[in-house]
Amino acid sequence: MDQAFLLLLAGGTSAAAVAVGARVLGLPARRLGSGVLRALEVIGLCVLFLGANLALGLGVILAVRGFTGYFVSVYLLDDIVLVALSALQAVVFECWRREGHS
Amino acid sequence: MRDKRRLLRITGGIAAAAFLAAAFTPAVNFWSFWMAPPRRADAVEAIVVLGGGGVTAQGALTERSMRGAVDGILLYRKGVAPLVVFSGSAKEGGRDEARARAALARDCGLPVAAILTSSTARTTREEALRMRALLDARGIRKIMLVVDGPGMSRAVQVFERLGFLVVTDPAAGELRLGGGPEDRLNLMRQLAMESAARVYYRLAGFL
Repeated sequence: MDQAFLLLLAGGTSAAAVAVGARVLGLPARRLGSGVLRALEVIGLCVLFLGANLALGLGVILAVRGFTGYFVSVYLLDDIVLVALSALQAVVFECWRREGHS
Repeated sequence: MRDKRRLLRITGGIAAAAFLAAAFTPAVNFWSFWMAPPRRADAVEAIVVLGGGGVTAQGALTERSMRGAVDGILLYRKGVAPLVVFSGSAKEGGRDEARARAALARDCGLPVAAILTSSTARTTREEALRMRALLDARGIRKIMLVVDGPGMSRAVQVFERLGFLVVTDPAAGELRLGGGPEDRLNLMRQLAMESAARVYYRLAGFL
């Protein structure tokens, strides 16, 4: 029930956003699908940034361990902040890409 | 260019679907259950509580570390073994986890002679090596491992590789379907970390 509430909440605000977009802002409803695809591209970018951050972080940690003998825990990478930073990187990169193409 | 965008969309679609499946279905609970090793509970010579969670800057056990310590204490109280070994290192000169856990066990009434600590190991492999050095001297081979989170299977394999006979805390292999979306996402993060650790341990020849 708790989970259904969260989904209903997000579904409700999404429906409201569609209504506001179509009626108040005059956005074409038929372009909603391509908007969703654009959103998937940004999420895909986020995954790429996260993968790159994790790979680089792991490489640095293993290199520090191997070359200096100083122990750095891999669990440093186990932080939700890295996901948020990756999302931020993806949004900025996408905005830059759009600006560059406009 | 179009192919790259298509690839990004597919990646994004998979990520979004995985997020929704992890948060709103019991998929990760089943994944966690599947990763737990099947081991029967049996009488052992020592209960080994591996490090996990550490201590706070104020020197108190974290919730996760406390959970492991309490599991070890309760198993001792049930008579599973006459000895409990707490593992857990210190962070940057702070109080070490193993001693903090041992202090808790003493406060709970466990006799000093029934408690050992190991506070220098920083990885599961190092913990196994330290335990071998510590327990070999006492002729102990059969142990029960207490591990918080999905790292049990890897820990069991590492310890068995070093010659231990390992049984696990019976509660560790249970299928737990409870928890909300946030709990499941946390569990998924732990499972992802553990999967990566398994790959690393396999490549390093520790498994």
